[in-house]
Amino acid sequence: MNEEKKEEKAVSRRKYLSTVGGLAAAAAVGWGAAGYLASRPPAPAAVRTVTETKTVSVAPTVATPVTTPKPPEKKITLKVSTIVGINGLIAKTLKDAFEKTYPNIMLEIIEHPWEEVTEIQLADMVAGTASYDVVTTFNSALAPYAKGGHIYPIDEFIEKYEGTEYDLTEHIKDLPPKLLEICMYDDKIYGMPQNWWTFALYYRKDLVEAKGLKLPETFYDIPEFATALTEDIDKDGKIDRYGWGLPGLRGGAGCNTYTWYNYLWSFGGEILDEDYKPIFNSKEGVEALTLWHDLLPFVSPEIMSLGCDQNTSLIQQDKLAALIHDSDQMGFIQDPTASKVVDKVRMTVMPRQVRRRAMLGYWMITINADTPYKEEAYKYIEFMTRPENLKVWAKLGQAPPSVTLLKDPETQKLRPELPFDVLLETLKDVASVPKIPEYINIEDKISIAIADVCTKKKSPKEALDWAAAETEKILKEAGYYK
Amino acid sequence: MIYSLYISMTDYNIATGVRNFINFENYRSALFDVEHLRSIKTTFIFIIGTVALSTSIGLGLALILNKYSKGRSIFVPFLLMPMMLTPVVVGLMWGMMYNTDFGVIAFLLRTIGIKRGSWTGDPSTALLTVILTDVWQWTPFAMILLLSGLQAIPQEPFEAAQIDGASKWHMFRYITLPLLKPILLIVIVFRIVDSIKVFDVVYTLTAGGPGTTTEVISLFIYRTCFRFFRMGYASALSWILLIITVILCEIYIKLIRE
Repeated sequence: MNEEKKEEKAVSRRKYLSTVGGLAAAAAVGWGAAGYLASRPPAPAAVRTVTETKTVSVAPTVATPVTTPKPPEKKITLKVSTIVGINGLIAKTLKDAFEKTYPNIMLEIIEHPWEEVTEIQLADMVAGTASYDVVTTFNSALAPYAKGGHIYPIDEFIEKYEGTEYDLTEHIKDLPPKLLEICMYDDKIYGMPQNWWTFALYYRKDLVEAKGLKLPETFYDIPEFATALTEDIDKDGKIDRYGWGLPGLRGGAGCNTYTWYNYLWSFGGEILDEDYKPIFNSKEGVEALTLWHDLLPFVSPEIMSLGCDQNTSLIQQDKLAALIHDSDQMGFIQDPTASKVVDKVRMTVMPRQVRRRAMLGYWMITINADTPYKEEAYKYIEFMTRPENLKVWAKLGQAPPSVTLLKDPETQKLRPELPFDVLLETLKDVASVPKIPEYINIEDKISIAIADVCTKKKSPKEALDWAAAETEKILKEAGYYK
Repeated sequence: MIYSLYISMTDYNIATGVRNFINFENYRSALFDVEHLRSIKTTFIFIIGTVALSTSIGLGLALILNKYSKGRSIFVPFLLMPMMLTPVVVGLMWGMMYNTDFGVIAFLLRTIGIKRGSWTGDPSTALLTVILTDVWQWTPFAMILLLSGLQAIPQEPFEAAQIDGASKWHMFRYITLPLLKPILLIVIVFRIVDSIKVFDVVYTLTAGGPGTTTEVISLFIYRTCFRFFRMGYASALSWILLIITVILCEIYIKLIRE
């Protein structure tokens, strides 16, 4: 018996050793292969080789970065990656008109949830499979996409088609200046804004009038305003309508940071200085976050699960009376199929503190660098920004990215509940996020800091100082400074 | 896998395309990365909570069903239903149930005089909500395996013990548990492996929040790769997780063999 056990143990030990040995050998081979691969000269990062399969039957091609535009001989399908919501709606509404204008181009509109669109598009871009020809992306993703060569600048097409039917220059001149600036990276224009938004004060007009309230003029007027609007309607000890809304959800667009930046900038703070040092933990930043903390008693206890969409739902369900919110949400709030407060909510400029400076964000349509249909993708972008099509945007509930149309009373009539004058006033002083690839990491640290204050884990100063220290680490590692 | 091992030794950023060979620097950083260590700690607390609760509740239900066979064919399908739901649906459903304003849990607690703020938004209860949600979904799995184990136990030892005057507790402790040990260990191994890779429920219920309170290791790796684009570092984290999982499984397999 003992001998059998010894034999069994020996067999088991041999098996164990051979397994471990096999794994170690595989690891050694892998490490050797890694070393070999690393010793080869790196492939140039931003070069994409595209094989054109169209036959050209006329003059030889000219040696310029863009091939001589010849209409494809067969129909092509242009795949547009967009997001569920207003962007998808605009794309689908204008699809037929586009295909009529360009009979050789069929559109395939692919919608993704906005929370996951970056991962989906990036997976395609990194693989170089060009599953999407036109991609819809937002502020925070511009710098990493552009630096990585995943999206293609449209400057050459703008220059090339100036004065032709595909001329984009007039629209560019008509863009709110800051909106054009945030579509640029390294002095190149990467696309055109489709869905854009800034921030404004939303409030229940009926409640404000009934209670004889004055709209807050400064940020420090907000607590008193919120107190008056917070109500336990049925007197059961539970608040039925919250006087103020804040997003606590961790993240950037649609989450806590993008809203907090309105507070930060209006208090006179900034995110980074000219040398890329974090300064959001300045006295102004701490004041802004302290006010945020002081507003928590008037906000839903579910704040940590609330983002832009969830706060819109709360307003729609008559659970929230006022907040500083994304300007593109008014259409949803006035939707009679979903909202209980249609015609009761109004939008006006944010309060002012040291200044009134609002966040400017967008979803931009741009060209996938891997697509073989860059010309067609540019034509799609140009088509979407034609004045007659921008009016369609307004009809669907999206403020057009055009100063002319924002000032046009006829366009305003298409959407009377979305006050274009408020947007124009707000656009006088707007800002956006730093255009560096590392910004997304920094945004996460600031987001965690805000969350820690909301959960009372840290004081505003402690939280922001931590986030600033983490930001310095990130930027030091990236080589911005020693 | 070899490619991911290679990537784990680079500082590959999938957005900017930067890729330099940095040897084992990612692994070294991971050992000192406070956020990484915190996510591992959160994961271990999650594993201990969910495995202990789902196994013990599963065992309790299995014992009851084993004893009372009448109606078993009706009750068991109902009890197995949570397992049939996709974790994403479970997370969304429980998120609504936990909601302070309109959730059924808050409502029921208020009727018995317990008023509190958010369950998922409070750092002191957020991880508990995730654990309870996971336990609700996977207890039936433990139950069904343990029930089959109980039904395979021969009756003779129990008869002999009864004759000897052993109490029900003694029979459970000295007969049922030892004979159930192999199945019990299998259930624990499966639950551990399942819990290590939990993602959907956490993502939909709390998204790792509030702050980083419920950020388990899989969510941390996901964010590192797809939100911060640090594919190299994320690959290294994945390999570390694989090694931890293999070690845990090796320990349990050895225990099962013994």
